[in-house]
Amino acid sequence: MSRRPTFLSGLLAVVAATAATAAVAETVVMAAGVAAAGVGFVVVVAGATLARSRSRVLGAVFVLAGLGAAAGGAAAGAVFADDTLQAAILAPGLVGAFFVTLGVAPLRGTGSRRLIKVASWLVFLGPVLSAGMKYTEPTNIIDMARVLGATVAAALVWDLGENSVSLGRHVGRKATTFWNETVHGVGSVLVGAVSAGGAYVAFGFGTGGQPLEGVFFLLIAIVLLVAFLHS
Amino acid sequence: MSKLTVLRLTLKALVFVLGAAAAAVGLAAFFMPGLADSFSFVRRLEATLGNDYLLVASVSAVALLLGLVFAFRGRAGTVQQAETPDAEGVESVPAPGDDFDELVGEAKGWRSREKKEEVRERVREAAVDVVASEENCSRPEAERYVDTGTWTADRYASSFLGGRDAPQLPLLTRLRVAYGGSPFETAATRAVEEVYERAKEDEDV
Amino acid sequence: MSEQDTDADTDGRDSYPTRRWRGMTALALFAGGAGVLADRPLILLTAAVWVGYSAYPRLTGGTSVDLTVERELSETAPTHGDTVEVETTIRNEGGTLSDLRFVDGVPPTLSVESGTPKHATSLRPGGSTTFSYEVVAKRGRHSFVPATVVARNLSGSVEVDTTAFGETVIECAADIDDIELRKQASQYTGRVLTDEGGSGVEFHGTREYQAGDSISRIDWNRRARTGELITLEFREERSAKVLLVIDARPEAYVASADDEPSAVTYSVFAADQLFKSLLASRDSVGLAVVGREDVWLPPSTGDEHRTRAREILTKHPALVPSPPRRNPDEDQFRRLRKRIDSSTQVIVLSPLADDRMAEKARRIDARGNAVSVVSPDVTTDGSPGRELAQVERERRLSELRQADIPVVDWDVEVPLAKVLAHTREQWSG
Repeated sequence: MSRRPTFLSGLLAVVAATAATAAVAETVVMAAGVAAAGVGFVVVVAGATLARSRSRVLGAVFVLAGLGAAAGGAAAGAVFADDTLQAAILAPGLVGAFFVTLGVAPLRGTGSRRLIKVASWLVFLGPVLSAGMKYTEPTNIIDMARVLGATVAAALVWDLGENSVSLGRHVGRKATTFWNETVHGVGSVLVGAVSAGGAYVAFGFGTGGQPLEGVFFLLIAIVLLVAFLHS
Repeated sequence: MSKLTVLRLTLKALVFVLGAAAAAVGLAAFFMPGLADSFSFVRRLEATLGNDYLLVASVSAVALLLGLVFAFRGRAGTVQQAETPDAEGVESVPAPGDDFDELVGEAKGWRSREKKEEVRERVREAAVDVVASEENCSRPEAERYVDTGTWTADRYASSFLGGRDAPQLPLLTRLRVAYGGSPFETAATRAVEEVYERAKEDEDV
Repeated sequence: MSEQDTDADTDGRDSYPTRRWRGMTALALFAGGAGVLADRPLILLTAAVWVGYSAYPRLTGGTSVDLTVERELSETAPTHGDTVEVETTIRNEGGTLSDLRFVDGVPPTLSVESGTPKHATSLRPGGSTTFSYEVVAKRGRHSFVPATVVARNLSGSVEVDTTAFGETVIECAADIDDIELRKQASQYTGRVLTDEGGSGVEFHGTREYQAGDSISRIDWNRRARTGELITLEFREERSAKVLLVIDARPEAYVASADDEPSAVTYSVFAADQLFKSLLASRDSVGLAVVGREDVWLPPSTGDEHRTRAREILTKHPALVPSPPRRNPDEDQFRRLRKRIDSSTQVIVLSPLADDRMAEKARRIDARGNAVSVVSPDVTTDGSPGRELAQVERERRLSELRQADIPVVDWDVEVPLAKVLAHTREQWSG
């Protein structure tokens, strides 16, 4: 019946994907384009909900309008880009946001975790590519904040999106889930904020001149410890 | 605990211990430059590979490969969660006779001869009872009426239940019925309706 | 407003990992590796975020569930078709439940009309939450089943799947008249006729049928199509031991429509009325059920006995409104036959939806016990099968009557008490 992904988390997952992409946009115009696309995606999700609960026609209108806005925003961003490379960096994130929309709207049935997983990987690329291409020497805190913030948002895409689908399968869209989603979301955001903060602090120590052996062992340590944390 | 679990746990413990040790060494090397020299194998490794970049690059390559493995293990399909019941639905029970309708539905196909026989038998039983009670005759007599099709004027009903002696439906009618839907289902429905009508009349009398 | 209070609740331990955070380490390694390879420290920093998320599931422990479920019903005695609002309150008696998902245990035979019995929230120790929804009442007695509870820790890495029970019952009278009849003492009067023939019992005469007249003394008119009743007076020395046998096999779980109670529910209802009436005239009454499980309550008298019978009729799993999945084992009939002694009269309550029960009734009768049958008619029309079912049931009725077993063909639209008192109008006019 109504086991569709819950509205709040699903919407926030779309917003997170959009925010992650917009955060690493080079110019304001491109960021605005991405934001417009994001708004379009949100409208699509709202339309899909309307179509199934209240009015098919109105819902369809919303969906089409949203898709149009998304396409428009993406196109505008691409057209007004100073640099094709910069636009290319934003592409995976936009596609990711689109996939989240599909997974959460939902396109079919009870939503798709798979789509959301792929979306989170795509959105992950945004800050990585951006930091790779542009920030060879991260100078100010703002640039670092943008990249780190975009990374946290990418994690939230998966967390909130998957929670939306999971809650939907457990209790459905009609049920009240506000506090559940809120508490869960706050926890995830806090973890991200702490990790990003820790990264920033650690960066302070990471100025050059380390002996190679130290770096070598530390890298190995990191790989081993991450492997330990797995599953 | 199974052997596999024990193996997994020891492996994990080993990884942790090695990682912690490596971290300790690495951090120590930062603060005590003298320590770095005792690990000369690192320099030798670097010499073999070429330069220091390739050294760390090889570690990263391993990390990336490991990442691929973990990515596969962490794909969306591995997530599991409980199943919850559908609390809004109603467990409804069938109405008396729904099993017969289901049987007729199953018997409709061209392969289900036994089911067709079962349907026929059931309707025949009912018809014989009704005829016996209505005409106030014995069962064998009633059976004769049904077999010869003389119990009813309805050609569909009589041909459905009748034996060889019963009049068959004219060919044109049969073709028309076959075109419109299942001839078996139509005949069975007509036969049951006929029996039902007669039973109702009998009751009211 | 009625508050159905409940006892506290279970602490299930069916906990397992959800594995929802598994992909984080991969991304940490990708970011780290890319950062080193591209010589971009900032990318390496993003890896720290992923490492943080990799550690998150390990930092959140397991959960244990200790909940109390209470429900408030808007109607204590709804009539069939009424909407009843159920307000469920969940209270956390244990530690913090950061991620709680709850599906209320709506009785499987009732449908939810508006709202949803599902809810998700976050409860601190001692916290509670309330939500409500509406169900449609149906004739019969419907108990809430254990609610499904799924609880997760804050990160969602570990999940516990358990249940929570709160006793709540929605009981719906079959008819307005029944409520009235329960409130007032039934006043049955009836002229009475003698019967020629009979089963070796002398008839001493007739008298007005009075309240509390034993149903067992009612000689069912055997040739009538409807339950016309003749009351006779037996010799006092003849004791009346009566056994009510309820047909609760899967075949008996039939109903005339989706929102109507099943024949088993009607049989249970009839059994309750007959039990009360028979006990009132100091007959010993017993109860047996053929179905999901063996049920045997030997004929006896007294208040305690009545309570025990009521317990069985209202709570025993053999008589719940949902049909069993399997047929009872063959031996059930045999065991029942063994328990019935020769002086017991048997009243069978069955819709006669198939041949077996009628056949068993005939066999018991042939053995020497006096058997009668009360059969709720839940047949309907609208399809060939259903019409055929009517015809087949009529045949079973007449076959039973031909074997001198009286049958009360109970049209369930009419309250049973009226059917049994039908004779009053018929004969006193």
